[in-house]
Amino acid sequence: MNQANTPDQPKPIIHAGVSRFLEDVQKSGILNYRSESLPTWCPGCGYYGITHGITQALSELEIPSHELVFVSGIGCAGRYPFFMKGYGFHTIHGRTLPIASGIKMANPRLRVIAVGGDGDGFAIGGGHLPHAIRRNIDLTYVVFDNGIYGLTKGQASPTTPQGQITATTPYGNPEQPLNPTMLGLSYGTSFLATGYAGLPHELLPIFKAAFSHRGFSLVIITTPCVTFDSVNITYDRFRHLWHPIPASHPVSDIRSAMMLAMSGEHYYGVMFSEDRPTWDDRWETIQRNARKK
Amino acid sequence: MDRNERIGENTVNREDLIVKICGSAGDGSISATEILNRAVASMGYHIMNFDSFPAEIRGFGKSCGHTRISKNPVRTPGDKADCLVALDDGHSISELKNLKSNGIIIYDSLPPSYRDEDTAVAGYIEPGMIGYGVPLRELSTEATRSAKSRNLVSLGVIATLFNFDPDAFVRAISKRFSGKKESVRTAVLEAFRLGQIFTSEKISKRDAIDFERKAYPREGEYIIISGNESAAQGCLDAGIRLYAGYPITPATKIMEILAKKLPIQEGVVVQTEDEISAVGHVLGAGFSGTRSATATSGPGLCLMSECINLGVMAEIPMVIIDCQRGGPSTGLPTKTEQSDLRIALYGASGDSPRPVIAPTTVAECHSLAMAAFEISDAYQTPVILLLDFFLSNRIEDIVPDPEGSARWGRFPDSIAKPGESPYKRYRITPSGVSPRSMPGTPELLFTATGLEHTENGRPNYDAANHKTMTDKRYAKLDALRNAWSLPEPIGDAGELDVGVISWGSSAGSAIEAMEILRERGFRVGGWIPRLLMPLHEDALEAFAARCRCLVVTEMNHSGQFADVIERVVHRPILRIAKVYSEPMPSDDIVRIVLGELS
Amino acid sequence: MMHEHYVIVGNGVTANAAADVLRERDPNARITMISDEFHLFYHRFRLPAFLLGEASESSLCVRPVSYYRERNIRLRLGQEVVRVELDRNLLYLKHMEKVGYTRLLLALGGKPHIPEVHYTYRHRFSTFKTLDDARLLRSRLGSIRSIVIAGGDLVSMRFATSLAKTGRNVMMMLASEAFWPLDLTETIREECIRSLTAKGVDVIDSDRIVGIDSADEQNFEVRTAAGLILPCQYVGAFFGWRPQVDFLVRSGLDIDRGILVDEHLRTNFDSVFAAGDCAQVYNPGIRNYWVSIGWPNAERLGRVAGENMAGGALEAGQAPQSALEVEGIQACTSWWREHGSE
Ligand SMILES: Cc1cc2nc3c(=O)[nH]c(=O)nc-3n(C[C@H](O)[C@H](O)[C@H](O)COP(=O)(O)OP(=O)(O)OC[C@H]3O[C@@H](n4cnc5c(N)ncnc54)[C@H](O)[C@@H]3O)c2cc1C
Ligand SMILES: Cc1ncc(C[n+]2csc(CCOP(=O)(O)OP(=O)(O)O)c2C)c(N)n1
Ligand code: SF4
Repeated sequence: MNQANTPDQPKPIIHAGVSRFLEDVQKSGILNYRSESLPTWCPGCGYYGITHGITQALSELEIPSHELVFVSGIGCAGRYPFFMKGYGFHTIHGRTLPIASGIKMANPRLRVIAVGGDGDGFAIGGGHLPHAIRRNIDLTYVVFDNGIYGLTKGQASPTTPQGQITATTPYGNPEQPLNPTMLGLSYGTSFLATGYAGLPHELLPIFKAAFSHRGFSLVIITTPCVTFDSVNITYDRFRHLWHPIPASHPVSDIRSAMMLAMSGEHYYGVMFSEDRPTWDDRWETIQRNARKK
Repeated sequence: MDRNERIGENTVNREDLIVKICGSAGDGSISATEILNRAVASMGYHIMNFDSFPAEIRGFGKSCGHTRISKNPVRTPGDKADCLVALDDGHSISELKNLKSNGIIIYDSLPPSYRDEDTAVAGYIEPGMIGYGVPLRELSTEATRSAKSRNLVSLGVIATLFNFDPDAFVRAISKRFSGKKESVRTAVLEAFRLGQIFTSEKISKRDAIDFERKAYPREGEYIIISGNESAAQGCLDAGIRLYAGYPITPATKIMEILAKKLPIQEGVVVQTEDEISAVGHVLGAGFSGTRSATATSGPGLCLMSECINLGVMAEIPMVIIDCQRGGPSTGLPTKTEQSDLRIALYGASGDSPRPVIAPTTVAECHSLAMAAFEISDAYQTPVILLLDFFLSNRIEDIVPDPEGSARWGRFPDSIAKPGESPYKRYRITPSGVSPRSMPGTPELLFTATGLEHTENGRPNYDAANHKTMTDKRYAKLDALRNAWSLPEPIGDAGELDVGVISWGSSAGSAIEAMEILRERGFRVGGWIPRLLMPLHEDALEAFAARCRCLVVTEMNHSGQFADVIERVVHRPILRIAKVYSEPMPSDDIVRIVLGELS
Repeated sequence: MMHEHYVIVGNGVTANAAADVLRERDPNARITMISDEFHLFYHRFRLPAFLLGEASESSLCVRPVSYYRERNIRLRLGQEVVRVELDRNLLYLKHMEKVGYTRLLLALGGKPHIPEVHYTYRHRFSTFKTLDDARLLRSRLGSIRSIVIAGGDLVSMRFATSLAKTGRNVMMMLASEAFWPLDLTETIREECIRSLTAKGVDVIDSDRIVGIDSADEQNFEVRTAAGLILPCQYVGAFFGWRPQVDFLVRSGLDIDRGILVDEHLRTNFDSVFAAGDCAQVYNPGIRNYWVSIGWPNAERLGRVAGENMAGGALEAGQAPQSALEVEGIQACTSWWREHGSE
């Protein structure tokens, strides 16, 4: 029976444009890290750029996709694991880091990449960040910071500038925004990098460094929500505002990194990186000592 | 025989019409639906409007307005539509499954170019359906130089086709565009008019729906609002000064409304970092004597349960609105379900009594929200108000109840007067309610705690004290039960063939099903309590005793309310407990009950 | 393998007969029927009975919609084909959709014809071919006392006598050119007049309409060359039928009065067939084309077309004996049975 033609089951409409786009991308090899599901983000969403950067880095590092675990919370960003090839866990709102940490602790051979929005990571999940950092658990946490709640349609987030009008702040946001970079540095992260989704090609070295870092790596990507933010993080406003981190910046100097974080300028690149024993390293020692006793 | 097995058959139905306006976001289907609602409501018709949109809520994608128009009060959005207005062919094709087999499709007959096979909605018109091609884009461009007013052209078509008073539409459109320039208003009215003209001159009507331009006078000033708006208004009218919340579908709207309105009433709205914090703020406000509320959905309610439990133990007034959605876990954010009943009633460690209230209509969202604050103050307890996606989002024409909360019962004032010494915050009283002191009041100092405590609020692990205090907390439920007016059974009196028990947003479907069963000659009655905890068990037993077949209907899988009922009535119950994700279809209730009776 | 997509334009007896055969021969193929009428396949010849209330609307229906569902035949009703691109296997529908096919059957039937001489007032004529026509007339019947029937083709005879039976004043203006596809020979003419008059119809012979006036589109006055003025509430055009092929004119199809097909009902395009009232069928025996009119004929040709579309090579067969020649076209008459009395 030719079901496709019965009105009960309309034929899916295949957008020719998308499939052609995919063909080009196929050649670059990064599709090896993409699942069969096409992202459901709005056209123009910065998340496409981030995805591009992550997949490019993964393919250059040649990480086998079965060793990858993508963990996310809830939000537009939370959808990310569905679009990637690898293991995935779309958890609940704000609990990305505890669950990702559990995965890594239980099976250290896995490469864990945790992703989430700014709401997921700094509001509801904000309490978990310092503790994941203190443990220096060896995973990468990528925050898709669009300064807004996307999935729930445009409410203020912890990184929404004061005064911005959003769905829940019709008279202007009364709260002052977090500085996520400073937050990560002052919590004592062993790695911190920043990037901008509007410069997807610059994201490659950033993600490569983050994925190669031993220990907790925090990557904060500023990204436009084209649907619910037309005043703050927009492609137009940010076009010329981003600079690479100066080559002269000593990457293991926390003071210098904090200066960059507080400068008010927009820098992309690795801001801080330090070699430190990871959670696993420390436990190895503990276990060794315990056996000795 | 299938309806459209017969040629050209169409039922004449002037009293009840379901219209869907479907397009892409930006096509104006929702605003056209709103204008339609206002126009027909101003002629005295009742409406229920329930917009469905896909689970992925974004700034693009399908947007579909669904309105049921009727001479009689509308209890459900109805099952399938009589008329589908296709502002976007692709999205409308996916809506066809929600159109009656003899439904009407209004489509754009002159799109800018030919469409590929099977991408035109008109190509899917089944035998028995009726298609009316209207050059929506062309007429829209003629009127407003843009395709954006296709929605208004289509209203012109609807008004003319179904013979509604066009002036009511003109008024509704003018009102909608009242903030706009004169030239804009003229242009949009022209779009409407071109739709009218085209229909009367070019369309030969093949359906039999005719409202004959009738109007029905109605009593009282009506307003058209959603359940969430109604509940938010209830919070405002109850005089809250603080709202704390964390965005979550389908509760966010309440926060967004209050964010606009509460500051005007000298209130504060905090968007907290999570629900634990939100309910914590509310707990704090309640402790300090200020009315405050939070609204959330399943995942948030889970997070709140610890603070709610603290509220029960420390006897702190607080109101939590739970707009249920499909679960468990993150579940189905945009689907309707009544599956949080159990967590609302019992979701806590320890013996944790808390009143739970479930409105059944948009009007009740207002009056019962107000009642929730009264109860929470009078009985010094957290109160959970259960809405759900359907009730939160459905729009009805309501006449706000002038009595507000008072119709549900008279609740005592429990504020302590200075002079009692020593002041015992948790003094044992027959009602279980102790005189409450507002922090800041001299002489009436106390410390609240989540530890078990004595009458003075001092921690105490003594077994006898724990029993006394547990009894006290439960005694408050008995006091509330006595103060709340009895749930009146509806339908036939005396012995019944079928007794239907229902709650919350799906009660409308139960009532509709009862009406159908009565038309079929059965003796049918219904019992629909709004106060679910504590339950009026005597009234329930009396009702159940009259019923040959006792049915409990609800939108969850495990029969959460049926479990509650069964424990009281000790007899077999026909459970109609299903997760539909959509509003409960009354036909389904009728079908299952008939199956049981035969 | 790509399945065939058989598209049949039309939903009359020809189309349905062809669809049945196609489904039997090819269980997996997509079959789509497209018709600009809204109704399910109905008995056209019972329309006069329906008009007079002797047959109910539902009794006209030949098959329920489930018939098509069960056979997985997609019925697109109320959808008109307005243009074709036969070299690209594409049909264009009025509601602006393109539909492709691998094999196409044109079973378009005929449509009532109004001669050029009546052009200026042609909108005042009513026609009687479809259920919609019949419904409209039936709803107006109460206010109709007098009827003028112009022309006098085969359909009109029963139409006129049926209405006369109801006591209405029926006037028939015989026009010789209307008798197509039959030639109005003297014998036939006399026979017609005799039988019509006997059944209460006033026959106006050797005169012709020169105008129709109307004040309110409900009441008409028919003016004739001889100076008669005939007041009435309905003027029916019964000047015979023409194949319904206007939209095919620049398609590259060979068309004369109808669509020219060979003895296998194939047009000059390999994948396109035509049958029923719209086709002119080549008969190798008489080395000429003949026009098929009438239900049984259409049904037979529909089956032949179905077989041949599915790969068969049946011949349409001899034009029946009683074929007449009208205007160089062979017309067969033997089919004209009185179905209406069923
Ligand atoms: C009132 C009346 C009485 C009759 N009485 C008798 C009788 O007693 N005995 C007898 O044998 N015959 C009788 N006939 C004739 C008989 O009905 C026809 O010969 C027969 O129906 C022809 O069938 P068909 O399938 O070829 O065409 P039709 O039945 O005409 O079907 C063709 C279909 O194609 C559709 N179509 C045409 N063009 C398009 C297009 N561009 N796009 C989409 N669809 C299109 C038409 O709408 C129509 O539905 C009578 C006819 C009429 C009108
Ligand atoms: C406990 C709980 N509370 C609330 C929600 C509703 N919710 C889903 S995503 C989201 C915020 C999304 O914002 P962000 O994390 O910045 O991600 P984005 O959508 O912008 O990518 C909220 C509030 C939820 N799913 N669970
Ligand atoms: S709503 Fe914003 S964040 Fe979400 S997919 Fe759309 S553009 Fe991206």
